[in-house]
Amino acid sequence: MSLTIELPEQMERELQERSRNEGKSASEYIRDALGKQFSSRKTLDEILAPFRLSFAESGTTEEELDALVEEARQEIWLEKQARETKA
Amino acid sequence: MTPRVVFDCMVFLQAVASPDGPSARCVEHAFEGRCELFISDETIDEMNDVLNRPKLRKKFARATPENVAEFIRRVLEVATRLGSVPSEYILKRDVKDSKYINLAVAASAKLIVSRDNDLLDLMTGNDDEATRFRTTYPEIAILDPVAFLKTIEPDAGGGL
Repeated sequence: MSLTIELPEQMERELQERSRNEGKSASEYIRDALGKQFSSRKTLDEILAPFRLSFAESGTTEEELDALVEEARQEIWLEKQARETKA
Repeated sequence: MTPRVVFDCMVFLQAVASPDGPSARCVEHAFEGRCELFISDETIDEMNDVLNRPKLRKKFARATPENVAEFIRRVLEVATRLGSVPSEYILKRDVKDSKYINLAVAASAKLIVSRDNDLLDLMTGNDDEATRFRTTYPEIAILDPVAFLKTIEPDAGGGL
């Protein structure tokens, strides 16, 4: 995959300088930097970001979420009881 | 000494949903080792089931089953898992909440953090069940997230 991105001048100068210092081309330097970023362990906030974005978009309140969770817990509980009775 | 705690499903779900609320701070404290979080097979299974329930999946539309699995994995990494816990206590007003009390007993945890009124009322209620709970387990406190933060964050006016 090849990608063209616009960099601010200051960032471009820094990229040229850092890649030169490491004896790499700008492309190699960016590829390595992305590799390091992708292999680093995600923080809790990063893991939860898709949940939190969805929740913010939904406009749901804390109380509504509590009610939804309680409803789900009750359903799960009843299903579990039914399975145990059947067994 | 690091306090031993049990969080209920609603505390975890509120933390999952919003980074700004007190529940998120409670979970962060556990992840940063300021309290020792305990889970059982039953409590972690319930959280996993709730997060994968269609109505919750719809609410968290951008999150994938892999995101759920990753969160559960991370909780398992930081928490102490007791596996199967004896059903020593049955909470009659909501039997499915008994698991949190039984986990606290098995873990010798003195704090249960909950947003569930059936559990929270055990601390203040005058009915037989609440009185019996407090008499049987005088060492266990059930707190909402805000009250828990006051005990664990000295700057918030508490401190253990």
